[in-house]
Amino acid sequence: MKQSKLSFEEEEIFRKKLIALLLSGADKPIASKVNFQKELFLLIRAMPNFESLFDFMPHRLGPYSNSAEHVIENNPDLFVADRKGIYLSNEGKQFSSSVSKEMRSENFERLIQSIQFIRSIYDNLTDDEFMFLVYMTYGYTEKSDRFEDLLKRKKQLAESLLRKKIITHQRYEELLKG
Amino acid sequence: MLSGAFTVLIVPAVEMESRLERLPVSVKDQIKRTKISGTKDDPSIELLRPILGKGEHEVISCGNEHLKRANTRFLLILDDGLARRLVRRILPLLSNHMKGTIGFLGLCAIRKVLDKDETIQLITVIGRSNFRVDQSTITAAIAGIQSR
Repeated sequence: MKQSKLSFEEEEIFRKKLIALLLSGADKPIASKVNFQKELFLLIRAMPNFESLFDFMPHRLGPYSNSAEHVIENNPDLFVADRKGIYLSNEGKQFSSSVSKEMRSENFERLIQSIQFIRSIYDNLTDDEFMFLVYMTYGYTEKSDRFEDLLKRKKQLAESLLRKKIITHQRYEELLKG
Repeated sequence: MLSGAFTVLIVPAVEMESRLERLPVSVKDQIKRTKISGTKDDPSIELLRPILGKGEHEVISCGNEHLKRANTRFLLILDDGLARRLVRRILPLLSNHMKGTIGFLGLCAIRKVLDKDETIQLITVIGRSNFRVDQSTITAAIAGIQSR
């Protein structure tokens, strides 16, 4: 993991901004905490500059960032986590919009494109489908209490991912081989 | 078969999938192997990793590397419809370099790298096989060859 030169407070602000942007990437909540963690994980894999902000570790349900969970829990004015999923409050929407205005670099455009891509693809996955795909791509299975069960259901999960047009036929075959 | 008209680069995953060792030496000698590494600095490439097969991912990474090195004289062969749509969406500059297998065979025939009649026959056979391709693509490729 890259060492960050920012103070904890500065890092926390960056985390809030990044999560606000992720949540603003589609017009609906992220359906669950599992999906939120996995979408953020994929974003960080694609943008490794932000790797040091989120300490993704193997966890019961796959890669998990404690600091991301804390950001959601500690900022109820910005972020809502309820039965509908995880989403921005009205104040959170304003915050996200102000972040968008203050960041206008080429990198920011790449960040937004990556977020919109992730939201458009992965919002449609169930927790199990998402965990299965992430485990099979990146590992993080060490502390999982679901991986073995998901592996037993790999045909059903891979078929569902193919049917939803999330993965290609070649990827489907690879997932079946496990 | 290739008449030196194209330099064919093959990525490791495709080499494994295609069991290249079966090919005659005369063909194998005209195929260069390449390795793909260090794609983590490109968000678009990394975003595609969970979605695509290893071979598809490596081919797209290889094409993207050519673009980054300002080499515009290349084609990447990609057949899966979803993979092609995703490339158009997040790597639009690569779209102009993208061909499917049938399109590439058609191009080879048009450039006289392959014999026209033999190519039409080959494309027809592929169309009847379990290779995943629309009949419209087969028809268009054959029509394209016949019109030259």
